[in-house]
Amino acid sequence: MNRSTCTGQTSAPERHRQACSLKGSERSQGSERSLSIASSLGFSSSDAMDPSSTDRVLRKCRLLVVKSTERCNLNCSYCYMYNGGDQSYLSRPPVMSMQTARKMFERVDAHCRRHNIREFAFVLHGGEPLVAPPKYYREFVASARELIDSGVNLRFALQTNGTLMDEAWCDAFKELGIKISFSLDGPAKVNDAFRVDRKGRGSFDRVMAGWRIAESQGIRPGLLMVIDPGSDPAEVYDLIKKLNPSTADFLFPDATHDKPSLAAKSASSPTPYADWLLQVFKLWTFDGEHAPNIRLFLQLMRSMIGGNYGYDVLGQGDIEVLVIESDGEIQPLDGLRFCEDGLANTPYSVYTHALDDAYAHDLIATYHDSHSRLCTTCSNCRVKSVCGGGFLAHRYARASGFDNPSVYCQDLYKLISHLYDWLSPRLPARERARLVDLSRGSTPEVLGEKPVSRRFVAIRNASANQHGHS
Amino acid sequence: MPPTPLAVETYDPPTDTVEQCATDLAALAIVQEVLREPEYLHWTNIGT
Repeated sequence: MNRSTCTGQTSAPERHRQACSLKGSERSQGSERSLSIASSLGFSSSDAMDPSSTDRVLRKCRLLVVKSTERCNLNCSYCYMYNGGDQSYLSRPPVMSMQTARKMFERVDAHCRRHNIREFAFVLHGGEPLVAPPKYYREFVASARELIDSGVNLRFALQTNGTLMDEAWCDAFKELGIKISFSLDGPAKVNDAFRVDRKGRGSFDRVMAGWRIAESQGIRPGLLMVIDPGSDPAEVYDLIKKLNPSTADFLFPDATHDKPSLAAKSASSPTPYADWLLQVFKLWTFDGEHAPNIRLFLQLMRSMIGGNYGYDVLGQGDIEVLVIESDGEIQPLDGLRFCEDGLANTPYSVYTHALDDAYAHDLIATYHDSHSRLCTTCSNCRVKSVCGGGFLAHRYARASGFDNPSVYCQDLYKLISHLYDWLSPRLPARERARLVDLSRGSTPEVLGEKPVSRRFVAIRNASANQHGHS
Repeated sequence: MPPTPLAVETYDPPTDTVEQCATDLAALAIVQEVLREPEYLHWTNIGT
């Protein structure tokens, strides 16, 4: 990353002001380039003279995470919204008003027109989005279709804990074309260790009841699971197979260099998450055509053959995501609030700013550029094109901002190395020639030099010579 | 066939098709899925 957003002991908002001020002065030196780019893309001259407009031209958003509700019926102990130290939800409306939603849709419409975006996604998120009634989402989706250019293909998805699912919800999702994903960490003993209600009761049985209702109504949800490396990976994998989700994904627990995960503090291995994931990977590869769609594994391997399949936890490419809070505030991904209280807050709102304007904010721009703004260690690392430095929040330290490797650096390196070794010899020659070169650069110091890249640089070069790839 | 991470010393010459290259049917299915263009990409893993 080019600069730290957070240094010293100043407050998070103050650090942002300092960072934005520095950035503005740097950008002014590039105003001539801004003018040229802006002109070529149809920006007005006043936009182009704005020193921040270079980034406004180059960066865009194609997915909004919408905090339709800021409240939840569960109280998961690890939740970044309520139990990670950030209290900003208390000052926001429990449910996004339709007035705010309509203003947001007007901003999306303008953004799509300006950037010629033909497909745009909304992820309804909370809190727990099902705290609001189905009629709320009927009006939400109808308003989006009314206010956003009909030439833009709109997609809607919703992340839920599933405990409030019933037939009425299923009817609404099918009617509105909303894809849903459940949050569930594993079997009862795994899930209920963290995912509890306000009385401390586990949520597993209620989630399963909701899942069965969805299934009975012809809905096949996705599944999002936070990894507990103390759990039995075979049991978790068996549950995934049993549920047969449309897609499953694993999340590394929220953690920063100041707030390491529980497992990281207690595990005997330096790579408890990679060790756990590789056991799942082994089971998964044995399942072949019956293997569930596990996004983390697929996207890592797709990234290895040069595809721009990354998302905000790995890979390359820009992160074209913004968050809209229930009061209309525009934020980078809300998981960043785990870093410290108020860090993700910005002065931008759909009531006062275009989506493009928000990219003048240092943290929003940094999040968008997550996989290209890397610390020196990551910039020199051989697997940076696959891991992309990892999720931005996992790089955070109060003393040095985001200018650090991920707290999961060693896990990511080990996971990538193993998957690369598994995939490379199984690829046909033409695809093998597309493998990214992982031979140049350093490795995380603790792991030391590994033979993975020495082996596969020969494979890749042989294939490249055969097929004329560079 | 289990993965052989970080320590494979030999390797077969490149072949031209997924079928020839995959060591067994299970691996073949996984590799084919990796090579398949995803229907749609999100930039965050929530809601998918």
